[in-house]
Amino acid sequence: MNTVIDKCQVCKIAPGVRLQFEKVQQAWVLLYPEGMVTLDEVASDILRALDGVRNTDEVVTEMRKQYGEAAELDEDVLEFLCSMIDQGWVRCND
Amino acid sequence: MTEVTESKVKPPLWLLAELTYKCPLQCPYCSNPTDFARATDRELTTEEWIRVFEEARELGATQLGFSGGEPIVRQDLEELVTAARDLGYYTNLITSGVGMNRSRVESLKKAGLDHIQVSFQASSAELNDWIAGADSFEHKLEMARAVKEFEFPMVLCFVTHRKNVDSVPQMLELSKQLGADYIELATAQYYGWAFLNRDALLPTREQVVFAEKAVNDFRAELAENDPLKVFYVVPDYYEDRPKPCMNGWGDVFLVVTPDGTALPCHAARQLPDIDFPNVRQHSVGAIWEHSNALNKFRGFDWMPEPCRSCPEKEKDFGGCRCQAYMLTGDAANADPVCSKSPHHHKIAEAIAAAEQPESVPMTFRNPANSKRLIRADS
Repeated sequence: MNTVIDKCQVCKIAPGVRLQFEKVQQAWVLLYPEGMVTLDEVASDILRALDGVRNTDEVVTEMRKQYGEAAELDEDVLEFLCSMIDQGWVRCND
Repeated sequence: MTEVTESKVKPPLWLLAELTYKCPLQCPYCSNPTDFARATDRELTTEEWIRVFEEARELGATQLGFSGGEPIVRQDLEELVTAARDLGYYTNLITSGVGMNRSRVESLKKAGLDHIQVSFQASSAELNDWIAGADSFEHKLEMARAVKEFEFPMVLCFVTHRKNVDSVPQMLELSKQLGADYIELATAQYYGWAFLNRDALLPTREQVVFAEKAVNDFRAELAENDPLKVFYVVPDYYEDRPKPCMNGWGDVFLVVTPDGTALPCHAARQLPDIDFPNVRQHSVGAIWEHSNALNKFRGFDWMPEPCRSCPEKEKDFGGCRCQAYMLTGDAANADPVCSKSPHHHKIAEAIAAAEQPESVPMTFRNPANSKRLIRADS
């Protein structure tokens, strides 16, 4: 799949998927049926910003506050969210 | 066990709680040991299970599978689910749906259960009920609908083998109709009852090729944004490199059996000369990190040739210890699935036998057959 999302769309963690901090691993993880993925800092920051209210553009703005004005940031965030949607871990409104 | 090994022990991320060996079905490919009837009256209590969950969670376990037997048989399942969720586990129920009813699906939802995997034996009532050894197909359909009604993510699992693999297209279609989020076509693994019935269950090469094509066709026809996922793995007998079984012995997976025995996989109990520890006598931490049993095949130092010098050993860990034991008599040997194994011909022989017209009767998994096998063994 090659999902494309628009900046005004609102993404959130998919139903049945859980984002939580793991003390033993000292990392945020995504838990889903019979599986887990350990997230790096950037990935967890993006996913934690998905509050079901902010649209993707606002999430990018939030990331700019944390990571500065890197030129590719917009593209990176969108690309990451699309890959999460393809995995079924993130859902996006139409 | 050396200090070096010990410091490398990672957390057991996956805890599989086999709550009971009791099951209303009689599937001839069941992964339970054939002598399960020895242990049916020594089940861990609610309190003992909760202690196991607490100790494993402290080590870092995140996924908890409730399995069996049929876990729904345990009347304290909801209590166990609640305790596990409070501890932060992602909780998975692995059920046949038999013995379940709509109100238990509802009470499991209230208890906080995250996900339900429902197994089917086939895509038609006739074949399903024959393989399961019980009328169950219609009830399974009802339960799958109830699982979706209560908005659980749902995995539908079909164990595939010679008797049902020709209907993979119908299995996929049925799963889609029932609203599955994931479809798992789990090739029968030849342990426990499945090993006993291997000659009746091993599919032919032609069947394997057909099933693989059916899966690929189905995937290709799914809409671009369809979140449905299909997992299908070719039976390892038809590969020439072994599977990285359990991602390595004692790496991420811990099984606790109904009577509290701790194992690195479903099948390891059969291995001789290993004293598998019990959670009634030891903490999960002591078992995972320090027991001889869990350390026995960790790392690479235990490997003989051809694994020892093999450049692929870090990828496949020499395959499966149980398969090595069952087919070569020594659990440390290379898994004979590997074409580098001097015992690889045993796999070729099993495949050749599968090409013969079928006439092999199956031994169904039930307490009477288990007791008969125990008597025959003693």
